[in-house]
Amino acid sequence: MPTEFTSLDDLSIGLNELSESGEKDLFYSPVSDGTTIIAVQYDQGVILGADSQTSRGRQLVSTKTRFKLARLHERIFCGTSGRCADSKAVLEVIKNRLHLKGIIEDSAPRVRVAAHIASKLCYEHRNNLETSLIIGGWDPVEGPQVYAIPIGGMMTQLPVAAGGSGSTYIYGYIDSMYKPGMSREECIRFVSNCVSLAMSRDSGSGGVIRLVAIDKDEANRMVLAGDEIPKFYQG
Amino acid sequence: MSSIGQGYDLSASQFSPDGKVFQVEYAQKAVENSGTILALRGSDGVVFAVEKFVQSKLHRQEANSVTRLFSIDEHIGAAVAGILTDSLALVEYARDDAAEYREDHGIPVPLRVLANRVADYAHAHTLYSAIRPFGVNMILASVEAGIGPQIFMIEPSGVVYGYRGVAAGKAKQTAHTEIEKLKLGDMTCDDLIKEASRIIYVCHDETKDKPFELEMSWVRAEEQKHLRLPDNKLKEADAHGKQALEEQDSDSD
Repeated sequence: MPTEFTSLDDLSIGLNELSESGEKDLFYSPVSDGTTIIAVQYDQGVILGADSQTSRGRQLVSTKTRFKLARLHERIFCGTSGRCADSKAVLEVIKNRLHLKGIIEDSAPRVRVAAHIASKLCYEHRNNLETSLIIGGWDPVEGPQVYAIPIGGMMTQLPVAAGGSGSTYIYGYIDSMYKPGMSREECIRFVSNCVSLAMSRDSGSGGVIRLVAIDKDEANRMVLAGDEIPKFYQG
Repeated sequence: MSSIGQGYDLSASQFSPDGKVFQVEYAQKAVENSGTILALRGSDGVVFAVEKFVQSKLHRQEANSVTRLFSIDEHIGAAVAGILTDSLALVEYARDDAAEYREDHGIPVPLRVLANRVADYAHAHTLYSAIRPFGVNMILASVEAGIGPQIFMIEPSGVVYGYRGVAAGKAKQTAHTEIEKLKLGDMTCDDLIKEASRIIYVCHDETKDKPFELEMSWVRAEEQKHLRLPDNKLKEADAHGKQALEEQDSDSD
């Protein structure tokens, strides 16, 4: 029985084997983000980090390099986890509303407003949606902010928030290593370490580490791939 | 301003040959018949003052029974001139709109956004023959973090402008002349309440108009809320206004 799938074309061969062994997990699972997403706020800005793997069930890595940090507006980004289709649908709505709002009101939309719109959507459709968001950004009114919107649509503002399947493996690390007042560089290192540690323990997380650093002046996208990913005890 | 409509003034859905919508002009006339209202923007907030005619001595004294000052949301105040019932309808629309914005966006509505939306609503009433324009000038003011104090005024045509100081109603011309003399940017609300009261008293026409009561409120950076003037401040402003009037009267003897 083949244990590696190198392309989606191979699935037709794999299907028979799978159904014989009773493992329907692969084909009947929607594409979802086994994921690690994390955001941390510092004095002048926000750092968001995420892995880049999507899976179907826990057997097929359907995408190795997905962008999980979506741009909602110039200085507002959103990490998503959960069912991919739900994440995308919610992101599109928020993006369009923020875009229109920015034009009509002639000013940059506030991060709080983006988070509120997201939370309202997720709550109103909580019976149909399975998506969990972390929104981070900077605006002229409140500066840097991070909001967590878990499944169900509750919105909380936090200095550091993590989500997705991988996050469960790193809460200990976050609790022990996060301290308020870190610099931008310390935050980037902290976020990269978090994602790396999660990726190595969570089968649903993997690929490369995507980072977005947002402050007053820019939203800078970065990638850590291969050797650049922080290394830890590999057992 | 006494142009005859000549049949083009019967509905708001018609232009006259010289490009006027007479219904809107007539609505503006309704505002000009009303008591004077004004708003002044200082360094730390905005002050409202209203020349409230006392229609009957039997009216209850509390401000809420007959008033031309309203809070649209906690942080936004409104003063209205014109047909009172039209004003109440517009205030209700503004309140609903502000509340809906809060619900949808999670933040209090920015003043500029609200002013534009209320103006659009007023404008919508100038397009059709089945409804008439609002006979209201509404002055909206607020103090917002990062922006400071702001004043907007909406007219029956649906036009809205921002102001440093503005008046509407009977004596708006006289009031504007007085307002232009002030160095508003250098004055605090404590200074402005006296000036506002003085202008209302000076503009009031003793011979032609009913007796009036001074109504005042402010929105200050300190509280970021629209509040009626505390009793002691109102008395102080009122006394200042009366005194200024006496001095003016004695000057002109």
